[in-house]
Amino acid sequence: MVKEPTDELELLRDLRRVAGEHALEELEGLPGGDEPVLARYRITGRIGEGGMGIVYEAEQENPRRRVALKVLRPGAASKPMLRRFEYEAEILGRLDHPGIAKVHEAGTWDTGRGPQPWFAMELVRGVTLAGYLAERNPDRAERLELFLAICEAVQHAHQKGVVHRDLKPANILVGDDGRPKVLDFGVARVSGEGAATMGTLAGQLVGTLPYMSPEQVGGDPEAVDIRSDVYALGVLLYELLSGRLPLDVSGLSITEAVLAITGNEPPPLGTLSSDLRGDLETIAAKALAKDRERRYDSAAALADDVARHLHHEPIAARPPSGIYQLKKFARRNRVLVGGVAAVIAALAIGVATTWRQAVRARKAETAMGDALEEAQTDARQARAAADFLRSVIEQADPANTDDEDPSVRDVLEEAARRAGVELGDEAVVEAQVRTSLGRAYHGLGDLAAATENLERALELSEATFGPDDDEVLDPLSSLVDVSFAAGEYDAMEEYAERLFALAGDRPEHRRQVAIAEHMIAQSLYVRARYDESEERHHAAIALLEETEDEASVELAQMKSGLGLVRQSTGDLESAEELMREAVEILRERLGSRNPTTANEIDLLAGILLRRRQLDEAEELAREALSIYRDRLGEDFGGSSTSLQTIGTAAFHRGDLATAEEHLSEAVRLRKLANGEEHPYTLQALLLLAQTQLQRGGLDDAEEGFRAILAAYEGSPDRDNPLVSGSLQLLATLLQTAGRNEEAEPLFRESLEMHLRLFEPDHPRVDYARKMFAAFYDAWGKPEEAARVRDD
Amino acid sequence: MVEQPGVVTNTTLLEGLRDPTNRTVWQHYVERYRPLIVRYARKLGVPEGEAEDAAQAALLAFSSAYRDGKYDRAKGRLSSWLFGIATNQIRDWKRSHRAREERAGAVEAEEALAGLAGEDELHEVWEREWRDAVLWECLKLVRAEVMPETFRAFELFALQERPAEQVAQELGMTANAVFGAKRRVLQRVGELMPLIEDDW
Repeated sequence: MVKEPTDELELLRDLRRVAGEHALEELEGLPGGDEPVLARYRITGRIGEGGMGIVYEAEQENPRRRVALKVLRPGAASKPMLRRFEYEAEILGRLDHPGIAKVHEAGTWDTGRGPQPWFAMELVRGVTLAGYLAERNPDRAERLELFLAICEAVQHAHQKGVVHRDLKPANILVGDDGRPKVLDFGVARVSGEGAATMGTLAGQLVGTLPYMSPEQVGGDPEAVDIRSDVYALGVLLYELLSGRLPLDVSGLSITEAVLAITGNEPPPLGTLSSDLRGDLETIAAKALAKDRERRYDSAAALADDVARHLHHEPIAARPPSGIYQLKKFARRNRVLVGGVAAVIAALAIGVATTWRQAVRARKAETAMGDALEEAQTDARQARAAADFLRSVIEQADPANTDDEDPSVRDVLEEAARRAGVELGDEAVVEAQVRTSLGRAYHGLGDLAAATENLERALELSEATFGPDDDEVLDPLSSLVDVSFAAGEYDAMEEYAERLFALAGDRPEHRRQVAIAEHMIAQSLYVRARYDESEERHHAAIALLEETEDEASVELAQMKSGLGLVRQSTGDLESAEELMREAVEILRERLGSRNPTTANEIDLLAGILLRRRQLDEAEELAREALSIYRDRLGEDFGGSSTSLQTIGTAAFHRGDLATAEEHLSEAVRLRKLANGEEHPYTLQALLLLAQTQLQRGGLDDAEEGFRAILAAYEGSPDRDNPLVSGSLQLLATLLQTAGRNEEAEPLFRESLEMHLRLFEPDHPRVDYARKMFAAFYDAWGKPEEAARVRDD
Repeated sequence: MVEQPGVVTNTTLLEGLRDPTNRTVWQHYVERYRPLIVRYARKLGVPEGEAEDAAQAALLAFSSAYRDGKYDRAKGRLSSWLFGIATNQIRDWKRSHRAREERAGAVEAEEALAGLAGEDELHEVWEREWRDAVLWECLKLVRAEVMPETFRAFELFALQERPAEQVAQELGMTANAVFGAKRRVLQRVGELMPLIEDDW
């Protein structure tokens, strides 16, 4: 019987042999042996797997030759796409150039899962361009010669009317003779308009993105022409010369990457290495121009300039002018809208397709057999695709991108529209997409649209899976979030109760339950039901801590929420402690330069300010401010909290200049974010005017106080500390300016209001009374002063 | 009996085979054992086309014997049964082949089959194929389990024996990740082997 491998080495040796021998049987997605393609080609091995499909090594009987058989993934093919496939396959067959891997034959067959296109191509023995560079490290002249040969091949294809669309080092092999061969001409197009290149997995897109031109990420397939290949050649040239990509999009979200490609200028080559200054820098910049009109109009023209440089002749390209660069900058938002929408649309279609397959395979699963394995794979892929789509949409969520660009909204509206139209018969996918949309709308603050999408998602999930299925939890927990944000606390509690009932105490749902608990706790907090809120916070924290080994962002937010409760009940010490824990977790999880972290830092600074720990309060507020400015720009409304903390701390320190500077900026931002008459704006204004008064800027201060009073003129809410404080300070100001007649009624009104607002023995009442009396004394009216004191 | 996700146990297969109209099971059965028998036959010197025929005949012979209740699991493993049937099929082929050649007056030059007449030698070849098939199945399972990049790294580095640095660069990962991928896949294959083997 089968023996245990004695050791890893033996196992490895066996695996190598088995993998070599079995490649023959490894016919994923390939049909049975009686299909025409297998009648003509005998598969002898597997070369690799890419975003579009699997590449096999095969032997052709007649003519007898070895070929690379590229089998595109089934299901990625729509009818119009297949028609175009046939048309393009014919053209591809006409390409005949030593630098291009020749397409011998192409076709489709029906696999039962839809038509599956395949190509039989020249089998190239060699290494990828990246591998070649790493192995040989050729010198610059050799690199440029290699580049010229690539351009020549691309030019040949362009002359035959074929655009590559997916030029990148992985698609270029360097043969044993040192000559490059370009693979996969036009395959990107026939494999479905980027839907397949975009793939179902983020990783594949990342490999392709850096070589995509702005018009390609712009998503309009008709806008792609040979100049898109010129751009990709530019990226290649830049990489060949400097060893790095012009734009590093690794680690960026799709949205950010699209933004970078459409808007960011790569560092000029000369800044990377001084010996690249001049011609090469200019050539690469021209090939990489964002506006294709500014690029070389052919691969040949690009190659000509490189050749001229090699021969030390003057090149044709000229460095771009400054005005032109400005114009480009202005265009970039427009491109972004199209780009993101296209990415989302492509993904939505991809998700629908994979999901359809998965569902089909899942049905087959009951009949058992090989569908079982497939079903699991497909379901996993579909899940991955759906997750990816969700993440793309959620990236567009301003809470994640820090981007309040209205174009994000356009993207969502487009996605919502498409979800209805294109996913209409895929309830499962539509439910997922609608859940994502709901969350994104929530991020945008459009709670009505968020609720609408989530309700629809809930309805679809219930109808598909039944009301007691786990799938229902997702939209349900989002509805809890949204109804909290909308202040619909009754609805929120209803959703939450349903969620609790459904989730029970199963460990896999503990997290969602904890988060819903936290929402309830917060709603109790804003309704000033502090004891209940405290209890719910504890429950949420306990539940969450059970589920995680390392503290999460959510846990930090719960701790900070509890901190706020404690702050409100006057327990500043424990509030500070909790807030510090929250900040520490967030620094760990999100990094110190993250806006969410900044928000917690800000809250902590506020508590410290109230505890009169001025230095640390100011230091933390400055840190938060610098993060906000960095990440969210100079006009971010939330910065005003940190500005106020800094200003107030400075005021207490007696540094009035710093205080005034920060407080006037706080007022400016409040006005932008909340409007002129919002209580937050007026509160900042009061602090500012008070500072100005102290500094002797009486005119400015008076203007500020009067603006506050004007805002509440005739309002039923006029009795409040803002107004009473303004009356008091304005009266003092007028007294200082010697305008006693004007000051008198204000002192009186201030005292009356203080009496209405506070208990008679409150220090503020006492203060208002003392100031009024002192005013009369100073004015030479001691009887009036006595009357005030005795009143 | 340990059920692995994605693996159809031979119990399931055998139950299904009782129903001659169950095409899915039949297909699965053929997919699993046909390549094995074909390779076995090829090792014994049977040409490709004939090896396919022999495999087909062996599989049919087994399934009808099984349906007739001739296969008792208590008395031997599926592997042994298939071995016996496949070897008989190949002997049959050899006899008719030789007869044909003799009729045609050809000189019997090919002794491979005759030379392997010893049961032990045949059994050794069979066992090796059987084990390879199980290994391959494990490899496929692990591929479905791990991230595509992990498996790709394993494939390039461990199977194709490319330098780790190069693989790392090509896949955009660290060399350490490449070593890790090798270790993980190997370890998992090692874990799966006895489980899959048990019920293959």
